[in-house]
Amino acid sequence: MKALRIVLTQNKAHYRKEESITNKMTYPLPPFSTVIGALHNACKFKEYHPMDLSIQGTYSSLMKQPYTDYCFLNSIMDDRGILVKMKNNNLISVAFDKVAVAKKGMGNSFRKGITIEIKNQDLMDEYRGLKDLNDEISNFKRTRIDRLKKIFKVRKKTLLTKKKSMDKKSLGFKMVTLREKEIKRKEKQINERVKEFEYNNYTKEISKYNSLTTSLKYYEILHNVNLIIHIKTDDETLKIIKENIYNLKSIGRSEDFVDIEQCEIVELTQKFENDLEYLIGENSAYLDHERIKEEDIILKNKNGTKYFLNKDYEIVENKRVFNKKVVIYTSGYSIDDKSEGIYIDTREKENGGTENYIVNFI
Amino acid sequence: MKEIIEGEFNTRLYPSDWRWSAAIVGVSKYLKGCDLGYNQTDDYLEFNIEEITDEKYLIFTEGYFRDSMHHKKVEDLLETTWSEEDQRIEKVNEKLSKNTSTNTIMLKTFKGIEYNGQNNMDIKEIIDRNRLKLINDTFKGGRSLYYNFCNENSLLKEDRNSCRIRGYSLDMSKKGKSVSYMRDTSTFVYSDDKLFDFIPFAFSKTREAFFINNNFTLEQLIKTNSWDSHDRTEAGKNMRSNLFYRVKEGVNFIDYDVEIIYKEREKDYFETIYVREKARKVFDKINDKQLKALRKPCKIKNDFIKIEKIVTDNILNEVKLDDLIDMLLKEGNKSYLISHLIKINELIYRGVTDKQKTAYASAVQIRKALKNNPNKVRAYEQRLIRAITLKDYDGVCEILLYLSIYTQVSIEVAIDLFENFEDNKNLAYTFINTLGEKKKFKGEQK
Repeated sequence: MKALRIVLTQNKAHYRKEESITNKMTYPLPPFSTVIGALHNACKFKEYHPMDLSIQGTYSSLMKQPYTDYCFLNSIMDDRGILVKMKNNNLISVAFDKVAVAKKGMGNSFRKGITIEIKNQDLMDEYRGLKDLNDEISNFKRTRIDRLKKIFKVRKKTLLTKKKSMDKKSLGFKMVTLREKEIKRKEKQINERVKEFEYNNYTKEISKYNSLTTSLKYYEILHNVNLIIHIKTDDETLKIIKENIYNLKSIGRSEDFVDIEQCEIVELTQKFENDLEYLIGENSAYLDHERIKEEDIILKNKNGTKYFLNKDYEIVENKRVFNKKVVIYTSGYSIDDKSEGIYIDTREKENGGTENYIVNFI
Repeated sequence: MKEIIEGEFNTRLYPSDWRWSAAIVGVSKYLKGCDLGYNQTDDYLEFNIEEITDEKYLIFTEGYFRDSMHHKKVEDLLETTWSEEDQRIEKVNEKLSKNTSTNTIMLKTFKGIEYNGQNNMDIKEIIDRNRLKLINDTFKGGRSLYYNFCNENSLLKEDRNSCRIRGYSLDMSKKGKSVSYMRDTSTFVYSDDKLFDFIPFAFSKTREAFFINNNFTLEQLIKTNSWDSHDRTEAGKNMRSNLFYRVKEGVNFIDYDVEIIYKEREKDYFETIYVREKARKVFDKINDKQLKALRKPCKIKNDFIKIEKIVTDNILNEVKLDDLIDMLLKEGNKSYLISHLIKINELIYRGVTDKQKTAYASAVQIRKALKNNPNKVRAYEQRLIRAITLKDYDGVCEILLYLSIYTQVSIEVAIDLFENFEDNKNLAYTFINTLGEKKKFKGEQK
């Protein structure tokens, strides 16, 4: 059977376990969805190309790496964190200017200048000016606009009553309708002008401000990762992946760069050659739980950790719902000539030797 | 993962990740403890969700964490026979009064009430009346209890808007956008369930709490995490040693390729440990004498460092102990500990070889040759320590050459060091440590 074999290394890598936040925990090998996503990105696929993968590999150590986490709060909070002005408010990044920093846990106020350290006085003044303007706009809306709205409402009601008592085909009816339209137009115009003024002078400017909190968080990082990935899909997709393999820059986080050692279309076999009775897997791998239960893959001492790994997904109600695959992560495994659905890949090494991989597509 | 099913039981749990594995262990302990029906296979656990009620849960908690429940201690004191009644009164009041007890839950419940030796029934009645609240509040706020594992505001609450586990939970109303795709909170995917309240029952009751996720079969998972023989016993205090070093004694807690979830009380997150075959082999070869040396308190300047933890982490991650040895070499007076660390380091480097003995023998010969000039030995030792800790490997080789010429003793390991210092660095450590003045470790036999 034809498959694509990718051999790659990563100096460091992190394959995040879903939902972990403070200490982002890692899987020992990349889940299928991570590899599939990276390959699709490298090939610029816009829709899912179904594929089965076999992932095996090693790493030398697992370490915890601290980092400063920048958390932009849902809204601007006057009493906490760091007040910042973004360089580009459409982009959440570390490109911002610090305006002021709250010095205590509670009871601070950026606007009133209570227990804060101002980092940029000009921006601080701008922020306070915007907040003052917002108060003025609110006040204007509450007093002038609301009064106008009430007047319009009364007029519209009067006109409606008039219309009810008139003949629909009469000139008077037409005049009242025109008057009604005119009032509605004016009302709309006033609303739009207020909205426009508010947007241009306040909303647009204040949206550049954000509340930021920083905290110490951690990543679990795998060092010196070696991965052997086999891909089974249609010939066309295999070809595209092979052609675009050097576009594959990272697996895991965007900074977890990959170094592609080899990418080849290979012929897998199920036959045991040279009187070989069994084959032992050299690398840790994700193995299909069903195949282990069926004893197509034999575990040395029935151990390992079972994972329900993500593969492909559907968007349901704006959320990704993943198709889960039940696998065992283990290293002491082997296959024999009775094993079904499992393949052998023999790789010629540069130093002249060969290496056999047990390939279990999931 | 939870599934609603039809049939004799209406709920099925799969060990889809460590959180659900731990919940399964906790639920299984609860079902067994409350003598309720369930069905357990290799892959899932089935039970009736209605049989898990808040009241039953709290009563089970009271029994499981009996030692941490203050009101249980009062009950025990009232029920035990005391030769001196005054002592009992004193002990009970310690738990109830403001002066000595720091437990606010007990203070609130027993406000203005004092034990006088006669009002046993009154005290018991107050406990009975407030039992569930006492358990709830103690469990929720206990630093070794629920608080250690989950957000305390989530206890016995239905599905929240983020996972209730420490390090997973989040104030969505303030920080939800930052963890969502394109700052759209409707895309945020999480799993939370009231059954996660059972997670504290799956971990060991030790300061460093462990959960071994060997969920290949549920039977194996539940058996491993029963912790019966280890909680609150002498063995429990050395949970780390028991987990990793006692393999050969048949205390078969872990096997390789197993994920271990680890929680320190001082940290508000969980960590992962993966045990691999190579690490397991190294743990296997560490003997009791070495283990004893690792466990001894080690003071560096004004701090005590946890040698056992550092060594365990290094073995698990195949990281050499060079940095630790460098630090101890600079301290001086740690040669006994260093000698054991070097042996363990050698296992990490390549397994046991005879080269260590050669390095040791060369150093002994040099010490013999310079026995009338101990200051010279000390000077050479210091120069070697300085060079090796500064990673000046050429310097180390040079000093070895001078030493060999000066004493007319052949240093055989020098050849290995000249060829590849990095790979043979542990031989240099052995040589330097043996060369130094030996101070006997208390109780050490010659």
